[in-house]
Amino acid sequence: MNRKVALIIGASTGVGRAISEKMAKDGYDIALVSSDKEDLLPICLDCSIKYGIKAMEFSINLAEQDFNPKILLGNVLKDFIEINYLIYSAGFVSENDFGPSSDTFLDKTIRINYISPIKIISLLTSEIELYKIKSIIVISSIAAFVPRKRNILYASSKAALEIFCSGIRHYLSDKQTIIQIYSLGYVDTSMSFGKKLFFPIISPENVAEKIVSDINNDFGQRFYPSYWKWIVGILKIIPWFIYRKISF
Amino acid sequence: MISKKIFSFDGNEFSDSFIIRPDKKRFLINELNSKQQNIAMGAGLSYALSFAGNNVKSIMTHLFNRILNFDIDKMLITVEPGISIGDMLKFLIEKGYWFSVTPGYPKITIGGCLGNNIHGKSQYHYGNIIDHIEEINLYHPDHGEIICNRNKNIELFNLTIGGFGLTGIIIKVVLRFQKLKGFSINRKKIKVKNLIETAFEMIKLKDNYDQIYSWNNLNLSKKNFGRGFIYCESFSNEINQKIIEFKNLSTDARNTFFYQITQPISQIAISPVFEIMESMKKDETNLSLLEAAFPINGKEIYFNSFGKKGFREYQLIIPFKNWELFVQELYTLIQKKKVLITLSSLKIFKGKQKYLYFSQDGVCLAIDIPSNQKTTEFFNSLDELMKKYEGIPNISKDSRLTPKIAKCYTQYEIFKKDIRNFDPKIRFNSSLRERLEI
Repeated sequence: MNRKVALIIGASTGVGRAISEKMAKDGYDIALVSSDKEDLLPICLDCSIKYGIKAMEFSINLAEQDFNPKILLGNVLKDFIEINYLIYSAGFVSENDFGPSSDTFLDKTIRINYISPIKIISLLTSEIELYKIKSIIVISSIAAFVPRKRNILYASSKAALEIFCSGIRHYLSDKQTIIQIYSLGYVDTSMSFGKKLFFPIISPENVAEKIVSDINNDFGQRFYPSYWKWIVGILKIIPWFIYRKISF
Repeated sequence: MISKKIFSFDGNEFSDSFIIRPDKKRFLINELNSKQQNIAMGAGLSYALSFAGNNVKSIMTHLFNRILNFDIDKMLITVEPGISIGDMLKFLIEKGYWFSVTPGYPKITIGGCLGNNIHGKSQYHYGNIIDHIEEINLYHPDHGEIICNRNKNIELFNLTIGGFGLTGIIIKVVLRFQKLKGFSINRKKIKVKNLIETAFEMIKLKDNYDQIYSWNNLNLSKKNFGRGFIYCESFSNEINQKIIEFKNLSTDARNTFFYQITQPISQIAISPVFEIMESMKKDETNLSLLEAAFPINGKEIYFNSFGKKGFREYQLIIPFKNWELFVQELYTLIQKKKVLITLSSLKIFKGKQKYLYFSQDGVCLAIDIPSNQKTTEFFNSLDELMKKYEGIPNISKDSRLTPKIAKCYTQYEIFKKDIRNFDPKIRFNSSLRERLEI
């Protein structure tokens, strides 16, 4: 039986892991990518044992300057016939991403959050027939909409990625391939663990459920949970003399 | 890392601790290698505070919850310690297999089951969980990752299972499972007149069933003291696919205003209401496998009804020869101390004592009581009674036990010495360790 294949980048933890497990449960074969091989292997074993699907792990460092998506996708195609879905869930945010940036994490932040995903998406969309790509899902953040003094580099990289994806969506408008961008609110991951936040935190499993159930729908960009649309809207119209005093 | 006051599940022991939740193995190892004392934390449902301590870093393991191997030929399953017993059993049942030693609640992790060397509903038939473990991988910052089984590092294997997490963090576990003997469980209910009769009947019946345990009412007068029901369970070929949802259980849930005001009445009502309801049910019922495995699931209101003050549980094993005399004195003690017992249950045990394993030949009695000063006094007197009749207490169920009482275990000192030899720098610590002076 030919199962659809999902390539999930940033699959070892958080939302990426939850999507991997949900897709495996729903009968997709999964190709999992992360920098930590020892964290991917247990997920692959678990998914293949529980759901009888094919799961392979690919260890790669997305922060490397010479990251070559051709090598990654080539390796994936050695084990799978095609790549029908790409979920780019990898992200990097440094605790030092506060105010002006220093060189130490600037490169890493921009590469993982912007350069590497656009390299992968560009290759996949330029050879649609080869890969048989159906949907590209990019996980972004509400941070991209409301810049603040913390996580400036992360937010600007994600914003750039969103603009790139929106452009590609327009480029692909006469094709069958769709692009989805999820701007996530607070999710219960290691980044948010233990933090007292003003709005509710949702579980990665909740996010995964939503993403996988809507994987073939061409809606463009979406806030999740949807109430963030209103929160972001309100934050955007707040006058500067008030906004500058808000700490969040 | 967050700092938090952590309570034992009975609500009586607490510590100001730190909690971390690693999601990658290298983060876990980094945390373990730090200078701060650590302890593993599974579901956080242990009655005694074995998963936290003052200034100790509790390492949540529940993201390490994967199945790593499933070998039907050898009947072995390899899992990470954070997988819940419910999830593992659900998986096994779907494949046509069974695991016999399960605690009453499905969200308890395998790591927690190992640390407390738990027994299931019928220890007489299946022993403790150690009897079903083939191998463990343990990580200790001063020793690295160690493979322990019955051929390699057997001393450490025996010290870790039932070692309350004091030898390190379990990285993976290999468990032996069994073939399912049926598609559901038939439960037969037998009425019994008192506590002495209950144990004698259970001894008589135990070999005819796959599981046997009881419920008894200890709030009655002498003639009826311990009146109740024996539950005899056997696998059945009747198909019962009732789906059960695994519910959440926590100490926080009982801190609400509703339970504070209803606590005094609900505690009085629990036993008589349960007895009436059970009397009205059919003598034979058919349960789905998961329903039978996790009888407490769905009955969270019982624990919540204790309110903020919580409850205390005493679980002990009394040798068969001393049972009758013990029960007579127990009755006198309950009458004298005027305590209200919300739950009491018997199981039949067999086995030998080793370290602090809750295992020896005899009758196991569990008692739940709302927590207050009278309860503590009653339990202190019960300590003396248990010692008089050569019993042992379940250390993982009682957050009040002192080293003096833990010495009922003939190998208490050996356990203490072996733990200190393996972990001389006390890299792993908890309130339980401090309290028992291990």
